[in-house]
Amino acid sequence: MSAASKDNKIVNEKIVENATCTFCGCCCDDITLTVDMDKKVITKAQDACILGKAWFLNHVIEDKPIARIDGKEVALDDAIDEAAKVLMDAKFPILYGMSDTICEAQRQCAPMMDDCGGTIDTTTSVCHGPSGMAFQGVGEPSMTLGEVKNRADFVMYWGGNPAEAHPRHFARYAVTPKGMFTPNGKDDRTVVIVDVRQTKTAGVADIFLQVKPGKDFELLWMLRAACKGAAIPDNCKELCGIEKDVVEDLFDKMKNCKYGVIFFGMGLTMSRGRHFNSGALMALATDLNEFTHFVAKPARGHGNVTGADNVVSWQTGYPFGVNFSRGHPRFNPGEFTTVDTLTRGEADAAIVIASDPVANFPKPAIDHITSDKCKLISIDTKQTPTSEAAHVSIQTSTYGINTGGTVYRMDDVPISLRPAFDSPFPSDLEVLTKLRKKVNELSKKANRPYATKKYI
Amino acid sequence: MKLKLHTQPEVPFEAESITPGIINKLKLKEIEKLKLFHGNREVNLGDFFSAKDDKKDSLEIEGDMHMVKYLGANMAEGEMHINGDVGAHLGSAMSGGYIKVDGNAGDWIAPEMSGGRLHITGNCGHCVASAYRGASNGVSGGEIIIEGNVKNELGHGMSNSTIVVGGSSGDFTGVNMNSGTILTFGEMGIRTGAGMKRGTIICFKELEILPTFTYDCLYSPVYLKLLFKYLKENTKIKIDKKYIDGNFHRWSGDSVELNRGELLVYYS
Repeated sequence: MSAASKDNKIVNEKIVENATCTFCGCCCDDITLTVDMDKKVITKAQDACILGKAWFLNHVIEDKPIARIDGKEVALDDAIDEAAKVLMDAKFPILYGMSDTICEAQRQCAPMMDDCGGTIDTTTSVCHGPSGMAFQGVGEPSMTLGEVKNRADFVMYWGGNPAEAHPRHFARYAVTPKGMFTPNGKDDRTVVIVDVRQTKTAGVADIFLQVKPGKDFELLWMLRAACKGAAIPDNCKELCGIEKDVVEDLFDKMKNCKYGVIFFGMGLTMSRGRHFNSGALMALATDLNEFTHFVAKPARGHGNVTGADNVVSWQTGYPFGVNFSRGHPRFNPGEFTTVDTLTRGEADAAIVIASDPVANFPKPAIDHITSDKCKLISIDTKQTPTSEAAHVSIQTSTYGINTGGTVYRMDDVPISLRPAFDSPFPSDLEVLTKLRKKVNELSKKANRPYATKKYI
Repeated sequence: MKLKLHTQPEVPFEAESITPGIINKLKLKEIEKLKLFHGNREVNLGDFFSAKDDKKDSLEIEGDMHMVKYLGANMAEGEMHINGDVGAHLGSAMSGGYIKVDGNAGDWIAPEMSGGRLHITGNCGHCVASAYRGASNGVSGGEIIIEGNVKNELGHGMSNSTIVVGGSSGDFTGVNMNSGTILTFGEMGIRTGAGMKRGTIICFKELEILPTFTYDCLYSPVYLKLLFKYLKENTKIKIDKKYIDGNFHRWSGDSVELNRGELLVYYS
């Protein structure tokens, strides 16, 4: 970080070079921030996209209490004690969120839920959860975005709109950058967009394929069969909305490229068929390796949702929806994922970290999480409907702006954060470390058979 | 032995100790002290169920047990009759014996079942007789009869089992099936038999068939007459007389896999 106020001859301003934006899963780490240290605001975010600028420039330090119990301001330690008691008293507590915090903080969560015999779930369960299930079912033909930049000559986006959701994805990694084996940038690449409608992303496409809504699986399945030598059926247009000769030409391009990549979004994972859609796409990428090098990757949304899946995976063996009530991790999406657990009215306590389910979940789930049957704890950087409804609410500082740490880019590459200025609020890491320690103490005191013996 | 649920669980309740093989060998006081899980708390069976010795060989259970999971898990012998709704994982990994449910059942019924018989008179949830996430094989034997409807992923990755559904089944029926037979009398959802390697799926209503299946012939499978006779004698599923000597269109697939599975669709 450059303490550059003197160098730039601007008093009380600081320049932060190579700062990382944590708005979306691209985690662009080439942003130059100009910070007004008096007002505690970022005044410029050079090289950031429209979403990154909104993320950095709108951040202000709110004049709010750090901790509240039932709306009344309390000391942080009292709030942590109460939160720990709620978790330990619960018979089926659930932890949800984590996609907008650092890996070091996420790391405290799985052992904490292990100690209190609860369930840990990330926001993945409502976005790319089906992809996580498909990874377990068919595997993941993976890569890094660096490889894509340097090698990919066939780039496909399926069921996503990166022009608006990941604006710098094209320029930094996949479409226009000049790479080692793609020296002419976009001229060396074939860009294919598959979607049910024309979006802004379609503008960059060499080939745009408008698939019939809900028929992605059928198109993927036909392409998979083509890999095994079957002909594309004559009624292809009737089946998926795309002419037979167009699909044949697409397949020809896919198997004759040097390095192909498919990025896929929630248009695929959250339409009818869900994990089978993601699984079909990854199986297609795997099948295409009979002819050439082909990979696939989900285009992840939140800043560190990929980190949440990685951390929970290396701690429990599973990426999300992991239950510890029997003392060992059990993975079963649908049974242990948050929306399902809340909709069935099962959880009797919920701790939400850096997320806002009360604003986003289906009504039956919101009704349960805000009812007397479920004690709610919120740890978040902003005041939200969830923090307002919470029994215990703790406000923390913002990752990437106020606190450092590690996040994972959408291709599972860890990146360090460079914070811009301090915050009066504690970090997620500080709060979760204290809470995890308190839960561990109570767990040992209660002689819970599965209390973690050693504090890590 | 007879068990009756007297206290409704507040959170998911896991009761894999409740099988005829365990219960019928114990005395009443021992049964009441059997350990079960109420959420993350170990509790005694007697805290939720009352037990009565009715001097019968079979185990009878009564009550609304929609929150009770793993009833009859790992069951290898004996008979269990359940009067009321049950939760998920009923008959998980069972290898023998007979379970009859007069009511509805939740998701994940009979995962990893390798033998025995399961008969449910009501409806079931998702993933009946399905492989657990990440596993390529689901049930490997036994017989499952559901008189009502089931949701998605019936028989996912199944091998060597027979499943009969009196009502309708959801999407991806028989997905990634290795072998065995699925028969659904009602409507089927989309993408039936996707990724199937071998096995037979029989449908009596119009069906949207994946483009990776190819048409073979029209024929009348003889073994279906035996299956219909068995179902008529043992279930309340109504079987239309025209089905007994009916002709079926035979499709083979899935060509993304071995292409040795068959899809039989009733014609006339």
